[in-house]
Amino acid sequence: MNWITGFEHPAYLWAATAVLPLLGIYWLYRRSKATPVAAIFLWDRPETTPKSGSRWQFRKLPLSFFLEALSLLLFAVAAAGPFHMSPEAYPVLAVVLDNSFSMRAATPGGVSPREQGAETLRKLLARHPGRRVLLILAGREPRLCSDSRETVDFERFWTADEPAFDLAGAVALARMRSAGCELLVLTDHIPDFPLAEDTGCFAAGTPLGNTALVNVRRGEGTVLAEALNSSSRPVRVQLELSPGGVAESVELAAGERYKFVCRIPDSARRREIVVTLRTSGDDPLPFDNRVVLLPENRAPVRFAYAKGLPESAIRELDAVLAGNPDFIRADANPELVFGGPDLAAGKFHRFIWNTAGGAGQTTAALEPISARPGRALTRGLALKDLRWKADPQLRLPGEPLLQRGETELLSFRRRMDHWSDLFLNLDPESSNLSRRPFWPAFFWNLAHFVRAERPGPARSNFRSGELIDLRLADPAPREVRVFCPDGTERSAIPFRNRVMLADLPPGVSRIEAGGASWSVSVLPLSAEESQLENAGRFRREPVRVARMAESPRTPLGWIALLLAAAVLALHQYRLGVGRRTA
Amino acid sequence: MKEFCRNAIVSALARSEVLELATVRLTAGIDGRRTGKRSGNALEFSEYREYQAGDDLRRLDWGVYARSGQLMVKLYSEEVDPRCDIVLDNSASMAVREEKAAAAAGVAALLAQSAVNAGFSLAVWHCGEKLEKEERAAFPLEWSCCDFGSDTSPGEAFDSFAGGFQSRGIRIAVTDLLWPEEPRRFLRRLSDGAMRTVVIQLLTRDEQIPAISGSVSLVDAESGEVRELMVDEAILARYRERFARHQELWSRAAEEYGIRLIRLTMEEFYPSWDLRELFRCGVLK
Repeated sequence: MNWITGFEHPAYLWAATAVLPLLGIYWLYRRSKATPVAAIFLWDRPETTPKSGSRWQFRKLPLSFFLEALSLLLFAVAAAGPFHMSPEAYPVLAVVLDNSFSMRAATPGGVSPREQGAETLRKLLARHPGRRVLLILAGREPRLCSDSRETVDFERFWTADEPAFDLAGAVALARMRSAGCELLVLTDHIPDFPLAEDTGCFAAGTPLGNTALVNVRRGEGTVLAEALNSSSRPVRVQLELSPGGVAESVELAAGERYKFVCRIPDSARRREIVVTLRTSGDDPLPFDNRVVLLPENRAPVRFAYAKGLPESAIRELDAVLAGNPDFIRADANPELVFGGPDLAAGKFHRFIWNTAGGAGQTTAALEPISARPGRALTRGLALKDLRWKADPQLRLPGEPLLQRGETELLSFRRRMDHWSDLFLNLDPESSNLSRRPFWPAFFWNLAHFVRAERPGPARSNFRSGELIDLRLADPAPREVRVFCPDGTERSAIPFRNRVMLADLPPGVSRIEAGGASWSVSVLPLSAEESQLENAGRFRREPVRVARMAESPRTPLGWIALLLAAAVLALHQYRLGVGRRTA
Repeated sequence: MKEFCRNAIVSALARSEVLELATVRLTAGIDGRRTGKRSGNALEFSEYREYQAGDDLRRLDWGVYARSGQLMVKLYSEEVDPRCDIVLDNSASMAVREEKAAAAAGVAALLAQSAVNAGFSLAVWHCGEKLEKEERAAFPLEWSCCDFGSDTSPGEAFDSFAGGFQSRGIRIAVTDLLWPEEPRRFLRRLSDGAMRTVVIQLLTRDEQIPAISGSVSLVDAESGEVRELMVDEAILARYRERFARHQELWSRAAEEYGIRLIRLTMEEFYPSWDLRELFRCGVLK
């Protein structure tokens, strides 16, 4: 327990340095003089006499020195105004921890900003045990990790592996959680927003040159990797695939980005691949030079035609699906069934095509088509110069995705059984869609959509910070468990057969749901975080918050004053005894 | 010769004008004028003592045996040549203070003059790096080696001494006996072949009861070794204890070899030349 929790006037503690001149005076007075002796062997060596010693041994300074020094120190302490405050009287301390992976950067043999920050925080927490402390991680999104008066093992969750840091958001969260708190930000960047008076900052970053992987993507037979040299000098780098060996070696100019395209060996097509960027010199941040890529298992969409689908529609579908490897016809157990308005629901997605665009009922061809933004099915569709004949009177169920004026052309509806329906209002006979880029692009989106609806994650590889949307088969299990590469385990409760997984640590995590399991790889990629030249060093102690001065406290200066007086009295008594005996 | 030594010798010579070197007893009518204490082939009967194992059977007095039934041995006073060797310790420890060096040179000169006054055949030895015989022994003011600058103790110097003392004479060593080697070797060599050996240990009061305190750098006068010390009562007590042990060691060794050890405190002896102790011990008369 700390008896002294603070000082009213800490600057007065400098008065304690008066001990140094005192020591100098004693040293000058007690300098040894050379004394010739006839028989030095009769004099004990200092180390052989337990009660005596050489003059360099501090303990041999006279007691009067220690008494005077002690009284000086006590006077200095008394002047500084020590006081005691109970932990409850302290304002809340909110600590914002920058959790971005640039906090790991360090020169060879140096100490990273995270380690320096952890040391600072450790000391701070040890200084006031029992104080209420909020720990807030400033990652891609700020989140509160601890709110406690107990000592918290912050190293456990301060992982410093996120691709972004939202300091301002974390500070705002801290203020929202506890108004009037004392704030401390631990980061490696000088904050780019003004800090309030009660906010201290400990930025321990150093501008460093770094080479990093900033983009990696795995295709069917290739890996696309983008490397960045953010240093101010050319660096030779080589990209290694394991298995596969060295893929390519190039020299990157200062600030250059370079794209590697590497062929995956046939033997590794179905296995995980480790991509490593090696540099010629020392790399301050090896964390962003290595990723693990899992194979993307993207089986083609199994589709079927329902009875009653008009021949004209089948002809158009055959034309586009035959050249698309993402689709495969499977009359048994299909995922997607193309049919007419009378197609009954089943354990499949329905693509219901209304081809009844009768004479005199077509829409105006020149009117522009509008698409609902942000939907997977309409992403990247070219809507110009389309001749789309549709029934203007037809009202499509669900959410319209494409419209021409009042005419609904395409709509989407999720059924209660978690399958989906797509409604298309198109007369193929008088339209030119199948001869435009719109048509194949739409079916690529459709294939992507159907695959994403399958149980499991939409992909196997995600960038760090991306939200992982996990679909579960019906009926969904009660719990989903995630085994992270750092040894931790998480669990989530599915809602409507879905689980959203956020902030998984970099590396390969295993997800288990019921009897099924999947692996996902999170790639620590962020060009902003790999740019270490923006790191900086900055330190500012927080000004004591207003509540601090009003908090109940016990002054302790008088104790130091009394002790100093007692020591002086003892000193005087000893001097008096010395004079009498002399 | 240093000025203070010369002054001390001058005053010592003035004091010794009427002094003579003494021995235990005088005889007359024989060649040797002075006798030694040991029994031997002397010309004059000295006394009886009881027979002890190993005594020469030829010395038994059969007449006494016939009268008393006791085996008694005749003792004779041995003839002593009137010879005197004076060994003056020239090591640097003798000059730890100028007064000590002056007193040592003075007492050696005083003894030399007393020996001359008593008709002794005199030899003076300066004990520095090695023992060197003084050419002008009878003239102390002309002694050549009186600088007290040697860093060799008499114990070491005697180790390399090939011999040269006058046999069956009186040997007197003036020294402070302050060296760490064991004393027997030195005393054996000093007394070997001598009829009588006297060691005059000259010490200052400071060497017996040091009056230093606080932080000091002790410098050994001979080796130059420096020892930084904070001298307090504990360390002084330890010094006194070790000094007493050292003195006891020399006393026992001297007793063992039949050597007369005379201890003089410089401050009591010099410059007033208080010779009472030398008279009391029978060195001077």
